[in-house]
Amino acid sequence: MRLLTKKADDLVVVYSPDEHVKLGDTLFVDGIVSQVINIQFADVPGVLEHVLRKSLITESNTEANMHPQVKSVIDSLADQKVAIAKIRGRLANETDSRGVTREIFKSGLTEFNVSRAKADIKVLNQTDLFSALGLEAPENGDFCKTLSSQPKPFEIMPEKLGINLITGMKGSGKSYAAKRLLLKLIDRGVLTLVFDLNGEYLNLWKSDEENRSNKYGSAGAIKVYVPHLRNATMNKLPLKIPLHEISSDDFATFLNVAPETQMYPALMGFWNESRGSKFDLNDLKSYVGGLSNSFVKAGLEDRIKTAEISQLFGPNDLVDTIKKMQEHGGALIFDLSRAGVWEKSIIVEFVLRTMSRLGQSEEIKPISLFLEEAQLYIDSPRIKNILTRMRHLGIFPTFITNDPRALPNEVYSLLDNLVAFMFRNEDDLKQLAKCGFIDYDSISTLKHLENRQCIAIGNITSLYPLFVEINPQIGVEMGGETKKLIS
Amino acid sequence: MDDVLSVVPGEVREQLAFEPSTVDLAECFVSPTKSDEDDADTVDIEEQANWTQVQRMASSYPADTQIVAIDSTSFKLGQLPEGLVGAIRTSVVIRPAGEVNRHLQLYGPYLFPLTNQNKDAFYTRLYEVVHKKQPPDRAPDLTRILDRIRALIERAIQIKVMRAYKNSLVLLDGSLIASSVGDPRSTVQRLVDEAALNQNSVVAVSKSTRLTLQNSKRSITSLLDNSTGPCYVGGIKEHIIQQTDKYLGNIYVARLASLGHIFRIDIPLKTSVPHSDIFAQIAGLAGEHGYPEELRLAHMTCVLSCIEILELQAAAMQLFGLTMEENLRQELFYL
Repeated sequence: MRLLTKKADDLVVVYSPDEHVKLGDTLFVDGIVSQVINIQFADVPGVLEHVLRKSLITESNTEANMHPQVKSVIDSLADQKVAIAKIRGRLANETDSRGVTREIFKSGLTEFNVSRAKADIKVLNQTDLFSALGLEAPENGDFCKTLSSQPKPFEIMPEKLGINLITGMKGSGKSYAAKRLLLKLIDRGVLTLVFDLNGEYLNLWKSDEENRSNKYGSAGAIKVYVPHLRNATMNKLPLKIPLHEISSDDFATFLNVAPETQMYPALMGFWNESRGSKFDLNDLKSYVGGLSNSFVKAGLEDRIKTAEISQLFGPNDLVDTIKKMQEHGGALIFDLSRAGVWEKSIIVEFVLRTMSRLGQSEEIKPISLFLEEAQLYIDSPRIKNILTRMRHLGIFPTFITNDPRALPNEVYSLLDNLVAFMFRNEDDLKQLAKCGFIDYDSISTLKHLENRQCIAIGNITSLYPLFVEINPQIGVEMGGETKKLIS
Repeated sequence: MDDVLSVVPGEVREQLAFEPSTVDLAECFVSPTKSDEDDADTVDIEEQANWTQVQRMASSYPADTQIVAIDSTSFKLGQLPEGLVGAIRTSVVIRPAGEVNRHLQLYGPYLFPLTNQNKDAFYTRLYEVVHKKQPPDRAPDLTRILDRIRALIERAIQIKVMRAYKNSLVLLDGSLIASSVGDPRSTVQRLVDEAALNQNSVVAVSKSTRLTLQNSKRSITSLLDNSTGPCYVGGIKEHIIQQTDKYLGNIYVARLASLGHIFRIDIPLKTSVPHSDIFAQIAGLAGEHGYPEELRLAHMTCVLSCIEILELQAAAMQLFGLTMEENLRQELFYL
């Protein structure tokens, strides 16, 4: 490998077809740490004419007689590649308080004393890189492996999770990664609440197609709250919202009671009268029974009947379930896939309020919260509230979306970790660069990644972009409940 | 080709210093001019008197005839203390009868480390393999040796082609002329005879010639200066003042396409197809500039691109255990 040039914070390195460099590899150039973000052919003058000449007669119609050693060299120049490597920093020796000296990674570069002719360039061993970054990498880790020439297992440490974003275009593997992370958190005894918009997580308790044992399912570590469900079955629990947890306006909206009708003030009256107490549909029914206006009375009785049939309102065991599942860790999934728009928002609002209350009263240990496409059921001010307030209550949100532009900018400015899968859209890539962990050129490499390959950066990677590939999960049905046109 | 290649010197003294030839990548291809062993003979034709001898030719694309075209190139890859390393490549382009697609046989690039110490022995052995007799003289000096070897190898491949193919129109780059030193008459005659035996029509096309008109001292190609369209003039050999034994075919001057260049064309005296029909066929093969397309392809596929030269310089160093020596001038005066 030879150093060709330095352009801004990019090193351009030429290498021969015999040498192997991959996207995401870390190049060590005389003490400088740089990361390969693009690979292309060396732009050798005359190569177009050289290739055009070769295309005059097809390869299959050409018989070449030459010395084998000459044959091995022919085309080697035309096949020379250049790797564009983004300068990340340098390795420096540091002695700790115990007097132990080790090489550590330091970002930034204030001097550039590198010789083109003599620079020693090599692909930095992943073990050395991890050591310099202070990253733990258990050899038996199965979450993912780095994409470098010498892949190395890498695990996301739950201790380093804060505000997290897992993003990527549809089908890029982001939900798969989120599910794998969820299972890892269960392994570490963490409870995660999941707002599952598309029924992606509903089968996690089931065994995979080869019917291998699913330890999460058998241990009851995964429970699904389903709205409108009459009775609990297997891992599914009916999701009911206590009536006193929602406002009169929410209830009126749910039952199509227009504010200009006389039913609306009647509902407000009940809510005002019952403030501070735990009331349910029976209490409301009694109140309506005592109304003098027969039209209002009849109208509201019809609405209450509808609410009863919906099975959405009633006493809820959420707090108890959370407390119980926290003992060993697990996942509590809220199936929003069959809930209406209004239902989604009141379910989420109720759950967040419950968690907030538990957090404030310090009744629970810190928990993780997965929000799939949060922008579709939480408005921007509430997302900002989650970002700023929830973390102080011990609630660590992970946003999962295929539309990074739909999330408020505050998500990016407060982000602790980014796990980004393939995007082709420039605007999406620019949005991701707003997190400040990674430059636009580097994040643009997402265009070239394959399914389940991603860039992870943040506290989990000591702020060094790691190109990783998510490993398959054994024993767990990872597919959601998406229906196919033809199966 | 094995017999030819068996005599190539495979080794030179280890660790010889090698000064690679300078390559300008902006040039894309390097195509050194082949040396002309053709003697500068004179033709006693008066330009004006020949107007009546200009023959018109009707172009007829020889779709049902196999076309074979041969061309070769050489390049000095670099300097050794007492020699050089050269590369030679020959292309044979074949368009089988009734087909549209062409096939290509590439011979080389072959690398030759030639020094004052090994060049005579190598040249003698190669000459013997190709011409089946001892060379009349020692090898030429280092400035001309590479081109002489190229000509020997090209001739060997031409003879191989004449034997391998039948009923073909074989296009050669150059002329059907025997040289006293490099290319004895017997070999050129053998080539013509092998061609006749297999019913091949040989056409040698020269882009330039040293045959000049007696009075005007202009090239014989000027005979067609005042004519238009595809045409040719024949019977030139009969008007050469000097000895004509070395010319093994009829010599023509021809323009193969309406706006094409004028070439000297040699065709053996005895061919299975009349010369007028051969002219119709090669006019049918002529491209935009009046040069037969298969021959143009043979040239384009044999010349070395600058990229290949750089690669071959690396291969030569590896193959012959040479060590790089920077050009002292360039090192001192790098600006």
